[in-house]
Amino acid sequence: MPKVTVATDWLDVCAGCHMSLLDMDEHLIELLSKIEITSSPITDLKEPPEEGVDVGILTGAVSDTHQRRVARRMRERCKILVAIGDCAAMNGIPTMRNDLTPDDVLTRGYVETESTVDGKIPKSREIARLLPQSMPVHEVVKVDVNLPGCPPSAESIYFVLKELLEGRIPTLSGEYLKYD
Amino acid sequence: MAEITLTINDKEVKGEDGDTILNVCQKNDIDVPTLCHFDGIPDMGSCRICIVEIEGSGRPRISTSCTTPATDGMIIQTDTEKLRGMRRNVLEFLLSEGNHHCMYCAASGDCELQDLAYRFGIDYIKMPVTPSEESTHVDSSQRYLVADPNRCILCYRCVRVCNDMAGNQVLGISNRGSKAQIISDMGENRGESGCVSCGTCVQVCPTGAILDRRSAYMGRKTEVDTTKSTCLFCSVGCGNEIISRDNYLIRIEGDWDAEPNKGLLCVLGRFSPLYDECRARANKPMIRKDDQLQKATWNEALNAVAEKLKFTDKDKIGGLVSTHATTETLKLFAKYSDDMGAKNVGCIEGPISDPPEKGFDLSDLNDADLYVVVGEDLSEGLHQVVGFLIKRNLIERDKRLVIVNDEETGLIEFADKHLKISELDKAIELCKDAENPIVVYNDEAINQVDKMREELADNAKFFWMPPGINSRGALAAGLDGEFDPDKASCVYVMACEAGDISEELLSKLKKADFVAVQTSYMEPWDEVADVILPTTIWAEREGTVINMEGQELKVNKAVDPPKEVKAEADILNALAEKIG
Repeated sequence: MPKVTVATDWLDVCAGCHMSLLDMDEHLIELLSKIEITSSPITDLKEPPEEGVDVGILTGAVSDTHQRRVARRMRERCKILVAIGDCAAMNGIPTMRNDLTPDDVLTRGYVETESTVDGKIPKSREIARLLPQSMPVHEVVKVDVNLPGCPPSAESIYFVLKELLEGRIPTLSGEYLKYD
Repeated sequence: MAEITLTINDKEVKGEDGDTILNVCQKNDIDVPTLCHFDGIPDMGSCRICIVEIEGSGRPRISTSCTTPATDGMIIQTDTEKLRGMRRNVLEFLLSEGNHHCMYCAASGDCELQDLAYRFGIDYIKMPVTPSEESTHVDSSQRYLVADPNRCILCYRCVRVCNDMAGNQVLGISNRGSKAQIISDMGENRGESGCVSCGTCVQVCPTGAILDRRSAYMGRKTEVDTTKSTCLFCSVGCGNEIISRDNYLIRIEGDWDAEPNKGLLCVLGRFSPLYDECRARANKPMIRKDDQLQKATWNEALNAVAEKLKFTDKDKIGGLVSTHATTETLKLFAKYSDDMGAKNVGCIEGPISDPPEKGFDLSDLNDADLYVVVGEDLSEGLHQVVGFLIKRNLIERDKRLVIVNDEETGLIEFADKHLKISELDKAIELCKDAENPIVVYNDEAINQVDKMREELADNAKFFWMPPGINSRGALAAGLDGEFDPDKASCVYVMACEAGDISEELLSKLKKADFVAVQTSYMEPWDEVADVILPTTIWAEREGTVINMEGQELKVNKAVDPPKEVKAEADILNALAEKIG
């Protein structure tokens, strides 16, 4: 039987959800006999293959134009999209900026920070622009499974992947559904 | 009460006339999720989680079960697909606005909103997640608590307890819709408002919108130990719950099941013991050598005291006790001083008047129509909870408060009349006209109240506010006399936590030949003591006290005392053994 292909990517997020993924320890070895991780931000290959994967995993909220592109690309290239973590599922920490304009946010970050002297907001066509509001992934593309948690525990990520391998869309409850 | 029969979820259940649908469900163990409902405070149906379907002609009506009266023959569904969907929507709306992100919230794990979200399996929120329309500032101006309106779900619990339970009328709501928020007074910061820091709002907040500063992030309910006990800071004897973790005191809460306070506490009982007590703990026995207190062993310290007591003329021995002590300890103290023949014994608060009423019931305050407060303040200092119980009754139109005091007190703004003590006759007249008057007084007003008692006979109830904590316990132990420092050359003080000692008494104690103090804190006794015997504090004590009502209440130990600290009774017994 061919292995199930999985690609992961991250958006507006700390690396915590990916750390939780690695935190599966021996389960990871077990899973790797059934799945193949084609690409992820923590492997050499970063982008999901053009021919597509079975399962796409996104962590983080969608806050700028680059992240929106990454989210859309993942959606196009995967059959089942899993949003992992509070930021991806519920907007999480990035919500904090949603009552400010992008300009306010950049000025605070690059100019007004207490340790900054003569700060400037970097401007380049290569740098993505902030969207007016930060959004959870499901507001940008269709999401099949949301797994909140900050970060979700390794057990709950393992549970979700196992359920998907069994051909079921997981329903979260009890220990697998935590917001902190 | 007439019994009524309803059909809930196709099963016949019984309730009483006057019950709400929620009451009937709870009595019959039918699970209906609630959020703004809180046992003991009036319901208002603000959260809409407890909705049920009521069948009638046409489509079933959807109503909040907490505010809809149950009537005979009602047919109700509490758990249909439609209701579950609506409840989920309500939750998602609550979660979508403001800051309901659990990862950095101190209430996570103890949050009723979070519990419901878990219960309904909410893994994402359909609507956009945004902070409140009006970005609201965190109010940390209050010394004991932090209010974060972004975490507020407008359940009005705090508003209801502030007005209806504690009677303080500080919290309210301003604006409407998404701009609505909890305010203090007319929008002042909490710290500058009329808030009396009773902390009842902290205890009822279902989310992290109002947090106790000190105990935030120090442990969830499942991680801490809870000990039911009795507050030892005035004679109301409020039932409290001492929250501790690994033998460390975290927080004090009111006990909802306890008489007479039913969950209420005041700042002295809830916050001050952990926030404001900054005196150094007495944690080693000490003996004064070369005018300096120096560490000693228990044996040396007890020997030093025993020797003095043994060889001092019994008329020269004085005993001074604090009513922080339990009745058992006070009785033990009285017994040993009797055995020694010491007569010059009294309480730190001074002599206690022994009122003719041996007890009363604070819940009678709810039935009174006139309150006459003589001498007492009730708005600050001791007995504030009695003030709450009076204030919350004044919301009713036909109840009046009269203050008889030459000075301004904090209750005046709630009062109908403020009379001078010379106008006592007017107060007596008012009592005669009232149906059910209650006179609240303290020892300063004994003469006035004696006069009132004479004129009113049985037509009024008299509530005595004792000067100390366990004053009735001291009376029971026979310790109602006066201690005269001028006649004592060897003084034994059982101080417990008492620290508010007059300069006069201290300077007189300084002149005594020998002073032994059994105390929890060094201050102010380190100035006068020749021997310090370290003893327990309120949370380490075990025994009973008698409150102002005359009720015997249990004091339970929540934490172990430091290694070298002994319980009051153990010290007295050890000393008695050495004296023989």
